[in-house]
Amino acid sequence: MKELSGHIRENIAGSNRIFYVYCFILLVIAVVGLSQAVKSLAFGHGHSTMSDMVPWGMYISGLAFFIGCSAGATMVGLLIHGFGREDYHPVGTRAILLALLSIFGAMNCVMMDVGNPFRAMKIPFLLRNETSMFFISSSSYMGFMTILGAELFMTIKITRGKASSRDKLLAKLLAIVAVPYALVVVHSFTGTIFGVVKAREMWNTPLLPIHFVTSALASGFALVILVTVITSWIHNKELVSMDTFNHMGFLLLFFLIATVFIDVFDYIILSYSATEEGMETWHLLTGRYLVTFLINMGGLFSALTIVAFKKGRTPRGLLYATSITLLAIVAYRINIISVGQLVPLYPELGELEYIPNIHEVAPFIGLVALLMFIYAVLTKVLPLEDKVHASHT
Amino acid sequence: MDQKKNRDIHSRHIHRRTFLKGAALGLASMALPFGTADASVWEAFFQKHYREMSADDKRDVILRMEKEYAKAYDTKFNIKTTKPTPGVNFGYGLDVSRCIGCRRCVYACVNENNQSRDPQMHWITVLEFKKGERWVNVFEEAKKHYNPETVPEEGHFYLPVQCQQCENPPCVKVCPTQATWKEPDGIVVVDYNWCIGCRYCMAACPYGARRFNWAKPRVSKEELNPETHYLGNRPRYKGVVEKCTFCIQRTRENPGRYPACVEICPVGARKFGNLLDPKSEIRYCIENKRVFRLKEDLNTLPQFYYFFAS
Repeated sequence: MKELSGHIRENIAGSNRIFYVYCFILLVIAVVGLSQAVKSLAFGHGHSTMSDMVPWGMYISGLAFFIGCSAGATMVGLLIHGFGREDYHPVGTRAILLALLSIFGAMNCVMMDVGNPFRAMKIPFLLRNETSMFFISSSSYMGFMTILGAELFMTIKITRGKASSRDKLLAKLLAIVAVPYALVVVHSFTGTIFGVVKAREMWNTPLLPIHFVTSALASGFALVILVTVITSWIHNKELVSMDTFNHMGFLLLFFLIATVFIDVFDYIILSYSATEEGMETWHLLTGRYLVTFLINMGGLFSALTIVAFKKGRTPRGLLYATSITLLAIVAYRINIISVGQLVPLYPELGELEYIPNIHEVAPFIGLVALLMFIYAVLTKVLPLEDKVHASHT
Repeated sequence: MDQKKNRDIHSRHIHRRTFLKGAALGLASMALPFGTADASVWEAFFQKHYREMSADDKRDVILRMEKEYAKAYDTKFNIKTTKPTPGVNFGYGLDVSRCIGCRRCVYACVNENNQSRDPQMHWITVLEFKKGERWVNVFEEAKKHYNPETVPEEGHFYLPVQCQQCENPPCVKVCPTQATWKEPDGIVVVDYNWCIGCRYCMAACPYGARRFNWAKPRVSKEELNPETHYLGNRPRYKGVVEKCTFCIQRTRENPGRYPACVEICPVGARKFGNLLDPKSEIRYCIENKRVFRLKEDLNTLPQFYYFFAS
């Protein structure tokens, strides 16, 4: 413990001014943005553009996106411990941190969205309904955070060379258990939150849980790659080898193909829909939501094209491909939540509208800034694989 | 000098147990309400589920609430907890051929059920349809708020929509906290003290029948109806969902009264009664008129029947 606190102090002392300025800017954005969330907490969501007919907005899109981003760590953990890919080891702790922060972000999106966040904290201890997908998925996030927290603890122990063989075995078990837990429980059930809603044409499909799994893998792994590339550039040294970057690109290609495959056939079937709701959904996607629809599908196809070629699986190519992937998945999350609700339940309700205003956007930006701030501080103070390795050599 | 440095480091060293204790306390404090944290706030926070409350629990909760409401609204409230009557399953009928779209039902409901006046909230929505047009053709030209000089407007018919009190309610299944459930007499109710305001029930309701308190509901003292039911028209809070309860505070009385919307309807388009009573008016309508239910394909089995008497 004493050694760890010494390491933390040493790292903070060794930080340059740019780091402090960066953290300060993030903190200011976080405070300003999240103050809007406090306002909502005190006075309600009356100032937002959500309504009784469009009850879910940007926060729920954020929940779906952040939860998806947590999938990256499980893949990296599986590659290291399940498939013995030691070359992924330098990004192991960073991937777990990203996943933990993504879930933290997702849970905060829920807390900012609900009308009674304090009461909501009683889930799953005092409030529960086992038939509710919202209950199952939100409870599963806590389990996932526990698994990832334990994984982080073990990984740090291993990195510092303090782990016994039992610890290493436990780390391996956790990394392997995390995969089915994340894919079957966390991401599938998040998709099922929407999939079970018969009232909404765009949501009510058994494809949605599977789509949430594939898109989570794509966005989660893209986030890990993006952070690896950016970290390599900041530190002016490759965090992983070019072969590993190439392998990362291959995996991303696979996840993108799976996501595009489901998307394309889902949309083809939707475009042939003969029901009023189906026709209106397609009409919205190709009309008012054409921009996000194009960013979603065009982005996925572009990213897929980049990583399909060996030249695209270099750090620069991956930077473009992962950024586009993340943007495309954000667009998908916006479409699925917004368009899903904008089809009127009765035609006489007229054309529904949902465009998030500053009162919703500001807390969201504040939350992202807070997550980036926490990530920056944690990667500074924690003994990460690349830093420890560098100090040994 | 070295000794002094070591002492400084030790004085700042936090033991693991102390850290864990502090962290646990900190996290626990985050989960609790603060500010006006008097005894009633704690009681409300740890209140039992309505269906698990004993008679004594209910009495205590009602006393606490009556005090709170009296303080907040400067009015003496009577909050009932009348149970459902055995052998009763409420059903509702609406004669589409008679409805003239006057919206008297909407405002009678607002007055009876203490719905917020600012921001305005209506549990009943009256939809205006053009006769002879298919729904899909009117998407672009539909008017959300019809406002002609007189109703009924020539060539139009009206369809009031409210909670359909489904036999197979999707809202109940999806609620993460069991804050909404179906009572034995067929009424789907909400416990405003259990609702976390996630609005999943609203997203799942195919009839758009649920309303959320986006801000603190406001009703002036003069407009308040102090005769309330715990599961019905008692004043609501910011951040909770509410809906039609077939005027539970009236219909569960002995002798029961009609819901406010049925009572006010000037053309007698609204019918209400016990579905289990073969002699009731609602049973007569169902057995003798051309009835239909909204979105039957979803298998929600509404207990709200529409029909054409003429």
